[in-house]
Amino acid sequence: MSERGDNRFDGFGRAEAFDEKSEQLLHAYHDGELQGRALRRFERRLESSPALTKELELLRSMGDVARELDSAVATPDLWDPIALRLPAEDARKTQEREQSARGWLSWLTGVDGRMALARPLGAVAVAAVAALAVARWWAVPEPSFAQGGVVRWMDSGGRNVMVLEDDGASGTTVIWLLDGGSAEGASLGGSNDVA
Amino acid sequence: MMSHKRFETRSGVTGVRGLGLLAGFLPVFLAGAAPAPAAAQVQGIGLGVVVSHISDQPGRIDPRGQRIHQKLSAQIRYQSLSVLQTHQMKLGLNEVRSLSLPNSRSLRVRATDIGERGVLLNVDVEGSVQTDLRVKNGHLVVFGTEPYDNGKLVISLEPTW
Repeated sequence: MSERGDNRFDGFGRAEAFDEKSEQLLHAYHDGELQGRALRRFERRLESSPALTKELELLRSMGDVARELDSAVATPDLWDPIALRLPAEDARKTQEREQSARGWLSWLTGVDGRMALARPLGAVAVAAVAALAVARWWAVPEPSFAQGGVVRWMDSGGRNVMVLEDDGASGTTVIWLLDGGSAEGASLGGSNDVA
Repeated sequence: MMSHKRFETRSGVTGVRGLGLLAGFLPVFLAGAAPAPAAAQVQGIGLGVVVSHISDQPGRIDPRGQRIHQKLSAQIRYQSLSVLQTHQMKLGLNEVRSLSLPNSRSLRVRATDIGERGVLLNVDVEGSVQTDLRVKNGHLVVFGTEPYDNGKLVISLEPTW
C-alpha cells in the first residue's frame, strides 16, 4: 500500500487524497517547524481540510500516548518491578532500534517510517506503542564494542563520571562519580584531575 | 596502568515515533529483543559486594578493604578507608538482587548474560549511576558514588563463577 496519493477519509466519510508533500507539511506543522508564509498557508489548508485536521489530531494523540508511557517509566512504583532493565536501554541502542524500525517500515511501506504515523490506525498504534515499550524493557543489552571494555553503557543522570578502564593488568575498573567534593582527585593531590 | 575516560551521560527517553505499522511486525520486533540464552554450564554467579567509606580525614585503612585500597589508592587520594558492609550473594541469570546502602539508597544488580567475555551485569547505584558492565571472572569494579559522611561512599563488586 503506497503512502503517496493514499485516500484518507475525513470525519464525514469522504475520501481526500493526501500526497507526500501534504504529509511532510503536516509533520512539519506538528513538530513546529513551519514558519511565516508556509505556516499561514498550511493553517488555511487545515481549516479547509477536515481530513488533514483529523490526521493532525491523531499525531497529537499519539504524541500524548508516547509521553504518558515515558512518564510512566519514571514512576517510582514501576521502578522496582522493572528494576535493572532500564540500563539496557541506552540512548544509542534506542536510536539504533528506532532506525531499525524505520527501516522495517520503509521496507514494508516503501516510505519513511515517520509517515506511517499519519495512518489512521489509532488503536493499533496505541498497541504498537505499548509493544515498543515492552520490547524496550525486555531487551538484553549486548553492544558490539570492538574494544571490549568493561563499561558497556552508563547513565549518570547528567553528572560527570570518570571511568578508569582496566587494561587487563590491574584487574580493576573504577567508575567514579564526580561531585567536586572532598576525598577525590587531583584537587587533593591524587593522580587524576577530577575537578 | 589504566586508560582514562571522562564523559557525561544524560538520561532521557527518546520519543516514540514511527509506530503506525509496528503491530504488523510485532513478533519480529519482540523476537529481536528477546533475552539471549544463558550459558548452561553456569548455575549462578557469586558476587562479592563491599561498601566502604573513604575520607580525606586522617585515619586507618580498614584491613578488610585492603584489596580495594591497593587498587584505588593509586588513582584517588584519600586518607582513610572504612568497610561498612560486606555481602556475598549468588546471582541467577536475570535475577535482580538488591541491598540497602548506608546512605539509605539501594544497590541493584542483575546478571543478564554470561559468556567467554565475562558476565554482563546491570548495576544501578540509586541516585548515582546506572550502568551495564561486561566483567570477567574475578575482575573488581569500584564505584565512587555520592558524598557521604564527609567523604564518599565506595562500592566494589567482584563477580566470580
